Amino acid sequence: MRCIKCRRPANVEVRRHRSAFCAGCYPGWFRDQVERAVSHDRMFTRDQKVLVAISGGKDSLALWHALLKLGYQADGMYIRLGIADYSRRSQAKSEAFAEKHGLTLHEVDLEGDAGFKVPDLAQERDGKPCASCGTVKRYHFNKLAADLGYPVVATGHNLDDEAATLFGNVVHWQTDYLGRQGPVLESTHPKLVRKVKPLYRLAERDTAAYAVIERIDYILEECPMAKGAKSLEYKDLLNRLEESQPGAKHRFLVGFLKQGRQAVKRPLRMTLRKVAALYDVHGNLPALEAVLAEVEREEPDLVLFGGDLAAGWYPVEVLDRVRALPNARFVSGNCEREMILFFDGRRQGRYELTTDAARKLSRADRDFLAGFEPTVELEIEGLGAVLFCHATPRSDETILTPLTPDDEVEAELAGAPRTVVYGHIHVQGDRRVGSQRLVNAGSVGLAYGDTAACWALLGPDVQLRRTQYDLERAVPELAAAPGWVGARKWAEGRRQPPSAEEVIEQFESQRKHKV
Amino acid sequence: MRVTILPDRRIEEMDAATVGEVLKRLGLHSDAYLVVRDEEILTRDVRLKSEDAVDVIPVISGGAPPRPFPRGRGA
Repeated sequence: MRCIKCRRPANVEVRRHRSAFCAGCYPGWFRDQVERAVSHDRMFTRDQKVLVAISGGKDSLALWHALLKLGYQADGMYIRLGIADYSRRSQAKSEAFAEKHGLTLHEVDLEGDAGFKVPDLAQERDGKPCASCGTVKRYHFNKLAADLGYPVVATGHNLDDEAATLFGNVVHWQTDYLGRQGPVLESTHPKLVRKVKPLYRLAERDTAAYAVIERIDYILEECPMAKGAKSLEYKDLLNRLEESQPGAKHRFLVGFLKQGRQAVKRPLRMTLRKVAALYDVHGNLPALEAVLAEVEREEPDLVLFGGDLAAGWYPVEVLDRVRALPNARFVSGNCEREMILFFDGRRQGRYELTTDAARKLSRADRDFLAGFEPTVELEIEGLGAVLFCHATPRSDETILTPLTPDDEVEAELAGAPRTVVYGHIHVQGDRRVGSQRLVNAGSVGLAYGDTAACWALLGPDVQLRRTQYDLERAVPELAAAPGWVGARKWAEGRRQPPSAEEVIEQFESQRKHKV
Repeated sequence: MRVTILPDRRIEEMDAATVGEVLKRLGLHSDAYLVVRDEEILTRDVRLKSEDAVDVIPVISGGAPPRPFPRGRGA
């Protein structure tokens, strides 16, 4: 057999790719596969620090080695599991590797820190501690990554590991696990770190060959606790299949990731602790700045903008400000829709409010607005599922006021989760209708019946918030906004906004006449 | 030739023409082992001489498969 790159005698055959490589060309091919997984599945970048879970075995050490050779910033983490001789030897191999390459290896001592060792778990779970051991390890990855600020943990799981897991989950139809199996496990909670598997395209034999050729000294024997583990049985079955059908393992796993997973996947839902809802900013930059300062002190997981964000005094400046926020999502309002139509020349604007703002947008601003979502549903601690919409779950302009009869509100909210947050009428409110709760976050930039900037904080309950900002400074600044004929009139209006009652009655009669 | 099977270094003497044949005689999957002579990995077609000494290295590792946090059992 000859190397497909240089035609010299080959050392490593990769049957599933109908390839073979000499010892000189093989490491390059191996690292290309790792690079491909990292970039194709957007695991991490060279600017990020990666924590590699190290066991002292071939996979984790080969992974660490390859990542460093590829120019990634990778530190190691080793957990002393307390499995007698095996743990001592694997620890020695891990430490020796780190020392040889001058690397940082964080160590966690299970016995010292947690007061137990993995063999103790064997009694708990009919003699097989593997599942509990995995849970313990994941707990420590998460903790260490969170404590030390690593955004991502990489593990050495290879093609055989992943194919065996998939096989087991299919045999037992573990659809919940199936839906989440993949090379990237996104963080589902602020304290759970993102986990990635850069070796998932490489077979166990490939990583062993890499370790041998790169002279990586790894622990060869298996964990004594794993003897008879089901995963080893699955690996054996799959290897028998591979023998007669080269490439079967790869097709099984990659085919699942490409086609099968979608069918069993449930939407990944993160439970958020706190969400700040900022609606109807209307280009009021001074009000937005004041609210964001207060929001920042609350440390929410997410800032949700509920539409009608830019149409008003300072559209471009407001968009630049919110684009810089690290955790924000955007619901589209009627003003965004109108601005895009006007920008695209598909409609004469109905209000100067939106047309004048749309004239100031760049193509990038327009595209940013076009990416706003019709509604956003979030899982929030203490509240459960919460739907954020601009006006109603189905429309960005239908009017709902505190005077709207219950049955009509219920009809609008049918099918929505228990809590719905909206804006649009610029008056804060919190109302129960049947089994549902309808919260109006109010308006940051153009609140009625209030000179403050109004918004809402969700989780674990609902707080309607008001942020006073300095009108003496803000009004002249707003009045001076260029390119909007209404700038001065609307700025002066901030000093004495119409009362909430007045506005609600007016909106309610508008609503009735439309109906 | 002398075949040493790791990790417990069990030794087998046999006459096999190729690397592939060594694994076949031992009843081992070619995907689960590497065959090494003088620190050099050999492909399965390499012809062996009777005075050769080769190591057979298992590549399988691991216990239970990794699992993400379960949120209740599968539906």
